[in-house]
Amino acid sequence: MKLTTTVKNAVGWNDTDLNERFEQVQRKHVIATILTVALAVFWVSPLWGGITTAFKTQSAFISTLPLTPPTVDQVTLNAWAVAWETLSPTLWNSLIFTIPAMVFSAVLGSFAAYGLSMVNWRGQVALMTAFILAIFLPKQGILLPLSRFWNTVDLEGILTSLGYFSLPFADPSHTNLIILIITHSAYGISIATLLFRGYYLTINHDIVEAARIDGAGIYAIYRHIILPLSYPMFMVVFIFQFTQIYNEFLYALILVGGSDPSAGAPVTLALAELNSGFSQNWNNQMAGAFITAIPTLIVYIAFGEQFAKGVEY
Amino acid sequence: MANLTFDEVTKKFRDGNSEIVAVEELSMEINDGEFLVIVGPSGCGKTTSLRMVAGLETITEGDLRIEGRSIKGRSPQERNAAMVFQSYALYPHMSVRENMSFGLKQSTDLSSDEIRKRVDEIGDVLDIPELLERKPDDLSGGQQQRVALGRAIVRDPDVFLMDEPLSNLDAKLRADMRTELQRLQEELGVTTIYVTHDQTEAMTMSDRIAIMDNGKLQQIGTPMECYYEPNNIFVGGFIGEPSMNFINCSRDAQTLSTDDFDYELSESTAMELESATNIVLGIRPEDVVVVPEPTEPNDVAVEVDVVEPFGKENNLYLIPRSRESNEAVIGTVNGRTRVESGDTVGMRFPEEHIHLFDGNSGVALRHPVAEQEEITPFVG
Repeated sequence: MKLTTTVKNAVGWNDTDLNERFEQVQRKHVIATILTVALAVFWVSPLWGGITTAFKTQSAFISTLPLTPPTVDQVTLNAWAVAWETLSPTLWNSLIFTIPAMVFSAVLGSFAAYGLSMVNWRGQVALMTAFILAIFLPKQGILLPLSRFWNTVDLEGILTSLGYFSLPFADPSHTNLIILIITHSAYGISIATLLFRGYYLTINHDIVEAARIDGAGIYAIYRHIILPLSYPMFMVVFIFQFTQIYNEFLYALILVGGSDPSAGAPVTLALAELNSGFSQNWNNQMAGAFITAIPTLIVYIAFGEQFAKGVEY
Repeated sequence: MANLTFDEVTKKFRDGNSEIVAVEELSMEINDGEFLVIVGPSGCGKTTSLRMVAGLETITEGDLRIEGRSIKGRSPQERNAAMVFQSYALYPHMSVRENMSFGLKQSTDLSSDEIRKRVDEIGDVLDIPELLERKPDDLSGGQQQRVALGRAIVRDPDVFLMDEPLSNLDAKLRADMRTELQRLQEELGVTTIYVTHDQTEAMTMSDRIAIMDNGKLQQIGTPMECYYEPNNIFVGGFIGEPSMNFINCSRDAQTLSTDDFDYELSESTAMELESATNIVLGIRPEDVVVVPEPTEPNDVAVEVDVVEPFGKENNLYLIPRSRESNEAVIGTVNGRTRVESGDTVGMRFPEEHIHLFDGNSGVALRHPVAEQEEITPFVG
């Protein structure tokens, strides 16, 4: 009380002024709360609707509102079972090409960024410009050349002549999966390079010079100095590339075609397949969407802390 | 251990279409085991010179030789030089031991046992055995500095290169490290090039100082030579704290005239100046004699503008009474002398202590008489 009096005297407000200020502050609070709740409802309701739908029977879905939770006799795991049956083989396919493509694009991007930021040579700027341009290349624009390219390159023939298919773990679906690995690695290098380069430019260049004076060559500097310092950036690029490649639809559609798991179809294509058909079954689709999202959720939970913390060595 | 020769070394940088000369025809010889300090203001080319020795910059023209063999065009790995950086440049992800072992692993074929032994030895020399397993981030600035030093010493290089290694330390620690570095260098006897902008470091640590300005070597000599017999105005002003007083004069025969006073030279001194008429008179603050009032012909009546007490001495900013130029001359008097700002006193420049420079070229025309010889052995 004494404090408010002092403040009032110091600032020269009277009681009415002060009350008005309090009211203003309160009004701000109310508006902020309403906005927050509204936005939260806006964002969460589809998710909630998805979850309720995935656990409902088909008849319950038709007879209830999407956001109302199912009653005890309306609950079923049937939709999950159907979705899992359709998606699980392709889920495996997705991981088979996503993880290698994620690793390759990150490692190659890190190499390229090292060469473009830590080593001096002619033509660097031109090459970096090419990398940056590649990031902005619209996907739709390269679909046709991409499919023509893979039509021309007979990967299956190459693999056969190398004797790949006589290996114990080999499978016909691998041809398409390798095509996807190469395509996604190549397409991901540019953004990975940009991310790594930005990070490498923040590393104190004296460290690199100290290593040179200590007798390390270009490769040893990368292996012993730059690579260990890149660990946080690798986490960032891994998360980013994993979600990009795993969620990708267009390349897979063009390069693999249908949703046949034995042809190497990824989960995104199979999920789309759940959508089509004569009668739309929303319960299955919702369950399928959640199953498809699980790997990315795991990646975010596993590496998310590093991702949010940002990059520091 | 080796001697090092700069033979007309020139370094040019391209900056767009223009060319910047960072170092111009630098020639000097650094003897085996010598501690040479290159000193100068920022942008004078001292760091570039050091980096050329390290192999981090290419040499545009001229040649650099270690033990008579040219190192021009060789990569840093082939030079057996060790460098201490201003930022220390410790590898942040490695422990202190790994930091110190890295160079040995990369450039020698010592076994890991031998490396371990050597790192332990140097850890003892530098008094950091308890830090060996810690990471650089957990160390204080002073400790990091020691590790950076250890990383250089452990390699047993031909040359030590130090780029302002003490400038990130606080004043007290810097003074301690100065003595310690000197002691270490003497013990190890490794040829050392030390770059700094701090003339105190240059004076206190070096066997010889090389003073650079604008990419050019101004003078190379012992600290005493550079202090008492500076080649030119730049060296005179750069070495010494507080810095030398410079007064612009025009000369007519034996008379030097300034805006405020005339100064009569002796005949022999005037002879040394030959025909130069545009003269700069230089005198160190400690050589300025402050007397209660002007009594001799060359004495000038001055007013004490500011008194800077340092305890053992006071720096007085003296402004001639006529106040034509309004430029203060700094004079140092004993700290127990009581002088107040506003006092009127006499200022005397003893002729045996004055430096005379050519006002146009800045080159020294006359050094103080026999000051170097006045340095007498204390013992024996």
